[in-house]
Amino acid sequence: MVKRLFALLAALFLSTGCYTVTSKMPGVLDLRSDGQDAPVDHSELAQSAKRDGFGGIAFGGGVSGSGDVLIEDRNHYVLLLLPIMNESSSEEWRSALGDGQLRNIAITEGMSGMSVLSYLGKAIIGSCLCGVGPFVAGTWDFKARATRIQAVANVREESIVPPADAPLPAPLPAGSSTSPTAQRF
Amino acid sequence: MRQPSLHRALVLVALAVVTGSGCYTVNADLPGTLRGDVAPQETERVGTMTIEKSHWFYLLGLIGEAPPNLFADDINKSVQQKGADGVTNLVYESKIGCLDLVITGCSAGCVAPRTYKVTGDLVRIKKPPPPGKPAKVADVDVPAWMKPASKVARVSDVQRF
Repeated sequence: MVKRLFALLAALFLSTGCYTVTSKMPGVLDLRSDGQDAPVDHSELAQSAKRDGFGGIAFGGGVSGSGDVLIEDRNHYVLLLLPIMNESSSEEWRSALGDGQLRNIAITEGMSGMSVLSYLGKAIIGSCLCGVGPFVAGTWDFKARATRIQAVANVREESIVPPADAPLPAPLPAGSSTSPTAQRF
Repeated sequence: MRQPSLHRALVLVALAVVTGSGCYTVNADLPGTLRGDVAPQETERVGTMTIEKSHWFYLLGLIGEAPPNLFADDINKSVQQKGADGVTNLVYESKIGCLDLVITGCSAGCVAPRTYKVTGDLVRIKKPPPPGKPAKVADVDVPAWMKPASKVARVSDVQRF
């Protein structure tokens, strides 16, 4: 019986993998521009996006900051492989992005000091309750840093392209060119 | 008497290292800008993108931080190859997969790989880009017909008059 359970557990581990982190990002990643020339958006984010106190320790800090924003999401797993509670950070991404734009996006993930402490806490409680503490729970942190920018279109690039049915420019009368190169001759 | 104190010190050092630096740490940059102001009808899908990578950590993930351009160059290449402007429906996924588990188990945690996957739909964006420089151009062979036409009017067109 124990052997069968162990085999089932091993099969589960091998088929699904451990500590699976999934993050669905809203919006479009535009590679035509790094957004470095756009003004930073310092407007305050919705307070509901931030998690304080016990919620912050248990599930990560949510979305915090103005201008430079930090997305913190703490995932929990049963038997290190089945994600429970707070499975994806999609909501946090939506709160940080809204209808605006984000630049300098950096994704950070791994087992941080806080997640290790959280894991140890759960393992101790689990050991006291049912004696299988270390296997009951696992914790993994997902973080993302970015700078919010104002949604300003690059109008210069738009104005360069003439419409297809635009009339051709009128010919210049001879000798009336104002170009310095032309005047030289 | 020396043994317990040595063990205690080792445990404390290990705990300090784990809590201080973390395990399986990844710091990956994404190129370009993430835009929430582009409606789905303002994009045109030209293909899909799947980037799968494995990064090798050591000592249960304590050593071997992943490089910042873990995905950036590959995303750039994928976008360029299809002549797209960006990526939508972007999904980032990471896990200690089947093979990673086997390697970690066989090496007793000395070598501990982790698998990363980034997927998305490659799109052309009809809305103008935000002000800034284009994301770093990847070194790929782009077919001539896919290269964007110059948007600046040529001098020869004006001289014709």
